[in-house]
Amino acid sequence: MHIADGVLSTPVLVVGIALSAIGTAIGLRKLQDAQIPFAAVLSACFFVASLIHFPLGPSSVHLVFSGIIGLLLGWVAFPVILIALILQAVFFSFGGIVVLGVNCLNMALPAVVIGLLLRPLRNKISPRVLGFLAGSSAIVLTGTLVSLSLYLSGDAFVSTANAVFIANLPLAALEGIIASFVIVFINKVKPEVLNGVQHHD
Amino acid sequence: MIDNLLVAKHSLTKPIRLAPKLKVLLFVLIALATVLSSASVTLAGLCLYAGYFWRCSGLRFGYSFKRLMAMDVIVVFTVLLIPFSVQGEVLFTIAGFAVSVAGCEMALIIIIKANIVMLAVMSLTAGMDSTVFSQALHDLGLPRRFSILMQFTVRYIGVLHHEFTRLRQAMLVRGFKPCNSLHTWRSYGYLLGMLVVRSFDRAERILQAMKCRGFNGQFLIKQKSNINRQQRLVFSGYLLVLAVITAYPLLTAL
Repeated sequence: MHIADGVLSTPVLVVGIALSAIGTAIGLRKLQDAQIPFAAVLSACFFVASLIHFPLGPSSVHLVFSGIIGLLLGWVAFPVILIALILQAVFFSFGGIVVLGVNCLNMALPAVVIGLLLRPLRNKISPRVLGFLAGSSAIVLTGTLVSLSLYLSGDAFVSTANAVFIANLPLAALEGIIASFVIVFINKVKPEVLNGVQHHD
Repeated sequence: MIDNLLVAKHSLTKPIRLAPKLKVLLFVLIALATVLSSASVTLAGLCLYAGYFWRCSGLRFGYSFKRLMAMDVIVVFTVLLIPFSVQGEVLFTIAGFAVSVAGCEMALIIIIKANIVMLAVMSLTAGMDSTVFSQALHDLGLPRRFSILMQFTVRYIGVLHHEFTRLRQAMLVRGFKPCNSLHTWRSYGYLLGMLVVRSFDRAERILQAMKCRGFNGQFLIKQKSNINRQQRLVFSGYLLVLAVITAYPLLTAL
């Protein structure tokens, strides 16, 4: 998921930085001071969750939960994901610096889209389906955006872009399954969490 | 790994005498210069430049190497197919697929660029913890809410990681063994669900505690960062060297 510095072409980097800046500005505008603790603790929670390695086939993978972040945080997903990526780049050396905009856009835009599309449905469809749709479609969208960023950076990356997209499909299935259990659990134990941070006062 | 975020544990042998915000600005500029340049002489210069900061940082070789290697695994996966997809003079063939010289060069340049950027970032942030780092971002003009959100996030990453470890320990003593099964995924799903629920409860308590203390969204600055003349001079010197390295191919072309 993390694209490193030096891979993408300048126009792709510039568009990524510009759109991420706009998304982050919207997210911060929507974030009230009283909601900062909720956004921050959930942000920390997903940061910790992304460090867990799940067994998948012979290997293990880590998940991002951007779908659930989108469901719970809406536009605030932009600053939350940007912060996680900055911390990972600076303190763990994952990803890059100039490419932060593109990496943030690739993960946060699907989160926001899923938040906008699925949040109105949270009382209409079963939590199992809601979780699966949120988890898996966020990864499919992110995979598509990562492939697109590579694809637009030059002909040399066409085969890499295809490989990234295909490699994301099993991840999307696993993330969908786990996200569906997460949402089922939250719905049983504390359903008001699903109303999201913005509805909390 | 999380310790990296919370405590700056590296002692600096020859510390770079710059305010945190100038260090952040400097690594962003190095990253920009590296990403935007293509001349090999510039990249070699930037490599030495980042190497100089690494020497100053006093980071251990093993530690730095491990961190760069962790990133390189991902970078190598990204560039693995490039030698096959770029057309040009054929270097050799693997199972009928031609590997081009131009493709290998391109892949190598990407790997070098990614490593220069991360070496500079790692060296210039050595000894800086994430609280100082987020304060530096605020000093550089990032919105107040963004820095507060970052400081809060960092504060609770440690707490929630502890919470996560406790929950998982409870699962392990009950005989849980992760494998490829629906049971594993369900258990992890419920574990994460519990973590989210507890996070929400915790946030509620934090908000109450903050209200008690009269939180009004203001950023409380521990110490004001002042940049003295000496720091300005040192920073200008670093910038000048960076400018010369970046503009060298243009200067020689004149």
